[in-house]
Amino acid sequence: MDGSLATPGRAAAPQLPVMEAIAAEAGGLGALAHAIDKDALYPEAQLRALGAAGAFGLHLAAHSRLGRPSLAHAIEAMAAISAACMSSGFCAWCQDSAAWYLEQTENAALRARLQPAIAEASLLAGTGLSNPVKALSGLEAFRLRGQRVAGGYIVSGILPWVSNLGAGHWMGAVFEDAADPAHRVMAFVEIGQPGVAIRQNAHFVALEGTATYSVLFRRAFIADDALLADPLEAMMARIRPGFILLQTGMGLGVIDAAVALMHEADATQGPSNTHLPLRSDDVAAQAAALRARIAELAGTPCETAREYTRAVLQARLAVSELALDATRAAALHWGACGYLEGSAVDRRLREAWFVAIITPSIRHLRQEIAALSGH
Amino acid sequence: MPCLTIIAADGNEVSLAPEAGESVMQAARAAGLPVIGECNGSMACATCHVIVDPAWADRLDPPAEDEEATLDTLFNLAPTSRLGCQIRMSLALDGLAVRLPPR
Repeated sequence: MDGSLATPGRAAAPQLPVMEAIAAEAGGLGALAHAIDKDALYPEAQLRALGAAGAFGLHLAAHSRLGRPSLAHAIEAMAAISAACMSSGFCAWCQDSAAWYLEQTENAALRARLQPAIAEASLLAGTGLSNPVKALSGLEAFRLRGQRVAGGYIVSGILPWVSNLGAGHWMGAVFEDAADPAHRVMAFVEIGQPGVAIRQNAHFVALEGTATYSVLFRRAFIADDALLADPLEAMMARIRPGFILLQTGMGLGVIDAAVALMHEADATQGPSNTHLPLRSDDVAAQAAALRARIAELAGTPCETAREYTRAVLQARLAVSELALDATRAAALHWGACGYLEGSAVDRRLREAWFVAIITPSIRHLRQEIAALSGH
Repeated sequence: MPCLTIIAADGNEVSLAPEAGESVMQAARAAGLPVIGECNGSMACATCHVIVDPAWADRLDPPAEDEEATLDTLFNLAPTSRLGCQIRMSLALDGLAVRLPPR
C-alpha cells in the first residue's frame, strides 16, 4: 500500500502531453518516498527531471508548455507529485514559488537572468517568505533587517526554516529597513554568496529530505540588481494569491492519496469499513468541488479584491482541513496495518499535518479570514 | 531552585525560580515573557536573544560555535548577548540577571 496509485473516483480526462510527462516523472517518486520522508534523501535528480518535463514553468508566461501560463495546471502538477511523495511536492512548491516571484517582479533583468534556469530546474530555489507573510499579519517580527548603503543593502538576521536549499540555490528574502521599519524590501539571494550561509539545526517528524535549513545573514551585501521589489507592498499583493493557491497542490495530492488508500483498504476490509463515518466517495466528492473552486480562483491570480482574497484563504483552509480529515479516515480504514511504522498511512498523516501547519497555517488562515470578515 | 531575574525591554523586572536544568528561554516562556523560542532551542531562530548582566557574563560557559554564528546574525548584538536557550540554570547561576533586548 502506498496511496500513490491513480485515484479512483477522479474523472478520467484526456491529459495534455506536458501533464502526462510530469505525471510519468512524478510516478517514479513513490518508490523513493520513504527515503525522502525519513532518511533525508533530497530528490534533486527527480526535481531536475520534473523541471525538464516542464513541471515548474506551467504558470510562467515565457516558459509554459501549454502555450499560455496556467496556475491551475501548476497546481495540478504539484498535486500529481504530492500524490506520490508530498516532500517532493513541497520542493516543487518552493521551486514554483521562486519562479512566481520572478514572474511578478518589475526587475526584468533579474527575471531574464534567473527564471529560465528555475523553470527548467537547472537552478533550484526556495521561497523564504514564511517570516514576512506571518510578520505582515502581525504574528511575528521581521527576522531580517537591512541598512541602505551605496549600491544595495547590508542585511543581517536569521530565518529558521527555509526549504529546497543547498549551495548555489537561490531564495526569496524580505527585510525591513533598520532606519524605517515600515519600509520593507524583497530580494533574491544566493546561498553561499558572501554573508549568506545555511545550517541544519533540527530534524522534523516528516519531510526530512526537503533540504530545510536555517539561513544566516551576516552583514550580507544585497545589490540593487538582486532586488525583487523596493518597496515590498505592491509586489506582495501580486504574489500572495498565487503563493497560497500553489500550496493547495500539496494538499490535493495528499487527499488523492488518502482516497486511493481507502479504496485499497476496502478490497480486504470493505464490509467493516462501510460503517466508518467518512468514506472515499465522500472525500473524493469534496476534493472535486474544491478542485473546481481552486481552478476558478487560479484563473485570476493577480486580483486584489477583498472577496477574492477571502475566497483564496478559504480554499487553502478547506484543503488543509480536508487533508487532515482524509488521512485520518484513511488511517481508520487501514486499522492496525496503517499503524505500523513505515506504512503509507503513517506518512500521509504526517504529510497532512504539514499542509496544515506550513505558513499560512490553519490558525493563521482562520485569523486572516476572521479579519477580512470583520470579526 | 536558582533565582533568575529577567528585565523586560521596558524596564520591568520579573523574578523567577526555574528548575535546575531548565533554560532561560524555557523559564521566560513559561512566565509569559516575550521570548518566543520558535526553534525550541536548536539555535535556528535567535528569538530567545537575551543580554546577560555583565557581572554574570564571565560566569557562564562560553558560547559554542553554533551559538556564536547565530548571535552574529543579530542586528542589535550587545557584548554580553547570548541565546537564552543555551543558558541552563543551575545553583551556580543562582541570582543570574538578563535583559531582553529592545525590538
